[in-house]
Amino acid sequence: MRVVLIRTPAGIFAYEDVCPHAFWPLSDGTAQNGVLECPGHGWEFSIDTGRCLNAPAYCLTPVAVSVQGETVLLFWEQKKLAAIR
Amino acid sequence: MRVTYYGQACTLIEAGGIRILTDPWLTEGAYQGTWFHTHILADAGVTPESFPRDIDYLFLSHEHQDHLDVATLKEFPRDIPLLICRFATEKFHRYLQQLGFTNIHELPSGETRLLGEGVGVTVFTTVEYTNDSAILVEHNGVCLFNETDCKLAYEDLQRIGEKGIDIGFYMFSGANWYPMTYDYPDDVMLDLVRRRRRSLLRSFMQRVKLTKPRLAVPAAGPCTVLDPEMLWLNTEERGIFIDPELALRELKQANMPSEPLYMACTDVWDSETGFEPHAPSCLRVPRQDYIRAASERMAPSIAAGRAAERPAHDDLPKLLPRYFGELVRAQTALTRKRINAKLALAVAGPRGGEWTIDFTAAGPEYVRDGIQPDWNYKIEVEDKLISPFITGEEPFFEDLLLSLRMRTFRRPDEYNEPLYHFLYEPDPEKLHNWYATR
Repeated sequence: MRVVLIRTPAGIFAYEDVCPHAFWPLSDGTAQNGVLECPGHGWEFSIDTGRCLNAPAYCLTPVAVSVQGETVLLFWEQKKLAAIR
Repeated sequence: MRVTYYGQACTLIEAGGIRILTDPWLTEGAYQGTWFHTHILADAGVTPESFPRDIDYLFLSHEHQDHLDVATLKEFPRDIPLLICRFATEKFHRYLQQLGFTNIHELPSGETRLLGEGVGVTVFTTVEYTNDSAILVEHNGVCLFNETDCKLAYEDLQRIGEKGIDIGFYMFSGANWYPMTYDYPDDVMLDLVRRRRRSLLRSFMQRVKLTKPRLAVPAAGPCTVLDPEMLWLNTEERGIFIDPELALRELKQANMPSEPLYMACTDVWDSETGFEPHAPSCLRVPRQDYIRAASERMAPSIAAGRAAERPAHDDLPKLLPRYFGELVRAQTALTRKRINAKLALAVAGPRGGEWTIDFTAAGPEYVRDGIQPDWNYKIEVEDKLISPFITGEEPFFEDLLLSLRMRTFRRPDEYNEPLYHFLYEPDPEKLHNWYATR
């Protein structure tokens, strides 16, 4: 599973790295002003909620994040997915 | 392999002794007189009457009038082999049958069909609810991709890229009514247009990057609006119809391995000899200059076309609520719940009226007279324009919206995709299946 990890002034957010529209990897997109834009067709997502700003019915699938010191822990279905320093 | 470009998504592909014509739109003034080609085809000497008839296959990507032009298709025999993609419903196939075509070949998405002397054709369906498709043609190690204006899944584009495309035609311009027909304050509108254009160009670049063609041709647009009263739609500040020069510039600046290639109407690319410019020089003037002159030239015929528009059906005020009432009633509760909106129609003219189509109602009546104060989406349109879609003369309601001859409003200011899908193709089974899995 691929994860897109985004750091903003509000914190660190992680989602499955796939746009629900046409399945492009969001990690190839751009993130600015709290908005993550899919590279494929420009769909925009709120970084802090994962909600699609163009079509609110679509949401990104969140991956739980825990920051411990200089380590970012990612959890998926209760299991630790990765630890990134 | 040899390909001649005829504007929008129309390409004549010659390979292995076979001639495949894609999406022939050879007239002007699609969508109730609004859409013209990037350059008027007649300026390059192209008309339906003068177009070569010795075509072996027609590929039709989808039903939009700038891809499937009934007037152009009249020039071809009814038994010409048509290549179309197999979609979730039969609507497109049935429409072609109604037009009299008797030799329709439905190709499953992603499966290669061999035509004649080793010419491989693969069509790919869109990832969206709509019926749209793209085409890949391979012969003797040469590969051509025409995306038309189809939004493909990432995986399909990746697979297409692995083929080693020699020349690819890519959509880069906007082709719908958002945000121009909406009711935004001026500063918001300017910002939305700027962002939409930016996003379209970025998407174009990403699709080129992913599919890695040797030559990338900006295509499938932009349309040009030549009605003197609607010229503002072509401007960089207020419209999403992007000048191909901007797409070429983006590609050049990105320094990608793909070489940008501008093809105007009648220009040719040949896999052995390369690019052959055939388009007249008048098609190579700056876009805004061309549009200004073309609009002046076309203004009398546009005005004549408007004057000749038929009035609305006498019974429109009875037909319209019945039409929408039956469509909404036919949907499942799940679909109505997902649409969850009140669509207001304000129809002006002698056969006009006001109605609200309430997807949230308990039923069995879903259409009420008058505009309910809590509407979510509103369309203001003339009676004569909406009438043919209600009577069934025009089968695709979205064409009304693509005419850009209406005003639209939404509250909240969010894209209601299920409502759009309903207006696009209100097939109850298709809509239900789509939303049951999402």
